[in-house]
Amino acid sequence: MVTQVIRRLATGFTPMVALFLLLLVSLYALGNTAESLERFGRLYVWLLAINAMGLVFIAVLIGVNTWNLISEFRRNAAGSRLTARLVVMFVVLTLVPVTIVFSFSVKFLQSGIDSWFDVRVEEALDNALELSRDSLGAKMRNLQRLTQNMTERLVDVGPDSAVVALNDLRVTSGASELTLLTMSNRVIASSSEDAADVVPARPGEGILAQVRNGQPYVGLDPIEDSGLHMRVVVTVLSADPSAENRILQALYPVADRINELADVVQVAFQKYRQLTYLREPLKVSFILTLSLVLLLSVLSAVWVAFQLARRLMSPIHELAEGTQAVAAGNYSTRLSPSGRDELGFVVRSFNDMTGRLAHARDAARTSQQLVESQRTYLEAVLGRISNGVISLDMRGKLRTANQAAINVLGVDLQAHIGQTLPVLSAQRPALERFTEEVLPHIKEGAAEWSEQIELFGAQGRRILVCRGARLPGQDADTEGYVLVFDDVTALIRAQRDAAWSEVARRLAHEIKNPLTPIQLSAERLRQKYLGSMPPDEARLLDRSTHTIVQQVETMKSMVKAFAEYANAPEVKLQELNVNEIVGEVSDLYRGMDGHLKINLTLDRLLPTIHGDEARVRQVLVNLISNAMEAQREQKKSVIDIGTRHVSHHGYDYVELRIEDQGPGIDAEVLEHLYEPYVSTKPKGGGLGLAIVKKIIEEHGGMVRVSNKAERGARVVIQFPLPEGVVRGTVTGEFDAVSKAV
Amino acid sequence: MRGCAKQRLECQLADAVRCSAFALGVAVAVYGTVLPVSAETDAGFSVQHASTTLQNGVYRLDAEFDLALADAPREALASGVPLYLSIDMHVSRERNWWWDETVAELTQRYRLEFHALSSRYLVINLNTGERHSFRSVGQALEYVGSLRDFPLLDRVLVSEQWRYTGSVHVSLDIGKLPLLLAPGAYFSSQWRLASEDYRWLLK
Repeated sequence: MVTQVIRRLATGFTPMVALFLLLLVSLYALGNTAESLERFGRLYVWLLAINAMGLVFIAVLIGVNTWNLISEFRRNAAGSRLTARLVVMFVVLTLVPVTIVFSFSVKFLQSGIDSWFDVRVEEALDNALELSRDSLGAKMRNLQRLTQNMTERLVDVGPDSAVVALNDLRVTSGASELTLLTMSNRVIASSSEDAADVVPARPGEGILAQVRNGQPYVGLDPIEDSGLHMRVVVTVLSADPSAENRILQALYPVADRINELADVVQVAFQKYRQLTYLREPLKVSFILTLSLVLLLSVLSAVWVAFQLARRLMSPIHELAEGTQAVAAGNYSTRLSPSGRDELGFVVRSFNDMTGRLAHARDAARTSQQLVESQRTYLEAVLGRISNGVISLDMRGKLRTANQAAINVLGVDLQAHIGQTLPVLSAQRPALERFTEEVLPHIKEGAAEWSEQIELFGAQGRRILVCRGARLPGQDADTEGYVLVFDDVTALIRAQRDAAWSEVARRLAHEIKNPLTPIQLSAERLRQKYLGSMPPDEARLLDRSTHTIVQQVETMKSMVKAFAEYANAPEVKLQELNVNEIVGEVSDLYRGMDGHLKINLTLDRLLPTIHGDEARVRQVLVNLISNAMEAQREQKKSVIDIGTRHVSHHGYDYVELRIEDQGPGIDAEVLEHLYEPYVSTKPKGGGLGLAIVKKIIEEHGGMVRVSNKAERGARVVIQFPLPEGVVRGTVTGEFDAVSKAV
Repeated sequence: MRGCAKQRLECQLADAVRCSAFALGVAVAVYGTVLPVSAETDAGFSVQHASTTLQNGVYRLDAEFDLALADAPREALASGVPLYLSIDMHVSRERNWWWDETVAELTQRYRLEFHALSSRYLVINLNTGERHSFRSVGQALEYVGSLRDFPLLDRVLVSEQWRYTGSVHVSLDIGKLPLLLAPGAYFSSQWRLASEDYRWLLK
């Protein structure tokens, strides 16, 4: 509590100024005490104590400040040097003149006070006193003689006659009081000028002792209320040796005028002596007051120096810390405004600067966010579009590639970022053709170009439409090329399929009509002329007509197949379990051929698809037939059939795979595989895969035929899953039941 | 930043207050212990004896004081500075569970001064105005230090069922000294002359 009050008093500027003023006033009072003792009277000591305590408090405060400054100076704290310089400057500026004034003042004070006391004055006073004593001394000797003479009348008188004798003697001698006493200071008789004064003034023990020793006493005694008196005390010797001696005391008044003069001299002398005696304390007092004033001045100057330095340094301190904060990246630093001077201007400039920095940083951050979001957007778009997009730098190094590019090219390009196209194609032969086609354009530095590229790979021959463009940029890092390519194989194939459908329809229409008359005509020829012809001719006719009929029959079935291909009935979609159909169809083939072995790897948790059961069954029959055909020259035929549920990039489908261990499919055939009349089989219409593809497409699915790495061909069919189907399986690997058929 | 500065100032203040308290403590200690030790003379005031007797229904005090002045006050006296002495008398009723009750309180004041013209020392009883002159300071102090039949208390004011204690003490009144001497006197053992309290049972 007390500490808080003191703290509040000492930290505030106003309380400290008030304290200084108070001390100044008290010092002023102190300085005036010599002149007006009565006014300040007993306050003097208190004033001294208050001043001393106040000064000690300020001194301690300054001491602590100094200590802090020194430790800051050693630490090399910001602004400590300037503060130290300011403080030292202030102290020197104050101390030097104040010390000079002080030393001169002390000197003047000493000599000034000493000059009050003149030796001649002192001598004069001493002499005056001596003169008074001498003039009174002569009178006293007379009075002593007179008193001594009086004793003759008082030898051995009785008390009653003594009173009478004393009265007589007093009147004749002019004494104011005569007292006869025993040696033991008991009054025998007394006579006083003042009738009311019944108690005589008795001599003191010291006087009595002197008189008892036989020495008369004469002296100047200030008797109470009646001014100076000359007291004479003498022994009254007894005539009778056995009787006790007596003492006579006589008090003679000093004349009023003499009394007055003696008093004046005495008072003046006394006063002067007192003043002389108090000269040293007076000097000490003045010097003390002066020292306190000096101390107050110096201490207040030092304190003001600290205050000023702190006030001056506060913005500089803030500036230093603010600069460090800005250097550390904190641009939101704002300094409190400080005045209208140059420092205030610097502070305002600093605030402006940090404001602009913060603004610039915000703008940079915003634009960075914008760029980032645009990049994310671009990536999202590139990731979702079906076009393959890759970018290359000026040296032909791969910079980016989207997912579609990876799918289209069948190579994980992400693993090859930073490689040039030739290096890439050396590692991935599938890209060889792509590189061959693209590289000349890049080397040429064409601004824009377009190229159709044929690729051969595991998925067969594919056609890409590739467009390239040069990317404008400010430097080598941003400049480069962008390649956009589409897999148009399916498109071209679809166009071909449509054409073939048209062809089939026309064939069916144009060929089917003349076939029946041809067949009927041939049969009629045979019936009419076979019996009537000679055996040689008849045999020829029989063979020829038989051939015609048989060929027409074949043609009819061909046309029928074409018609089926062209005019397939509409599919009837229903919930379908692919596993069941696979089981049923494979059962059909079981035992049909002793060499055939069908391995089933079926996903137990396979979801159902939406499909036409008869059609899907036909697909399986066609594919198994194809597989058997492919292996007909081998001793043992093995067909692997597998199903699984695949979830890939948010796209769920049921995958059906049929693999054989035959010779595989020639690369040239692969391209046209789905077209009618493309077959590697010695027999068959060549419509098998074309129909399969047609059916699967009707289901919204996809079929891919490829050669296995080791041996044989692989057909992969993907059936899309209807929306909302519960995906019951773990994606990826088969959780399968293997079954050998 | 401001917080830091404030904190620093508070630290300084706490230090300042602590240091001031320490300095004050040291000053008091010096004042209390070192200075009295430096007094080398046998100057000093003390009460040799004090007792009361009942005479005609009035308790009268007889007391003997041993009064000796040190050099400084002796010199001041010779230089015309009057000295004031006071004898404080006090009678109180003893109480068991409470502070004693003051029954009577008397102060006898004397002024001792040097009369240059007659070269005598005057003792003025400030209570009665009585003046006595002595040849030496010793005689004057002897006079002051001897109190005979001083009427202290009326018998009526004293009840027999209680115990009464009297106490007396003599001192030099520094406060009455000339202003320029007073501050020095407060800090000087030569000037701080006062006897211990002398107590006796009132009979």
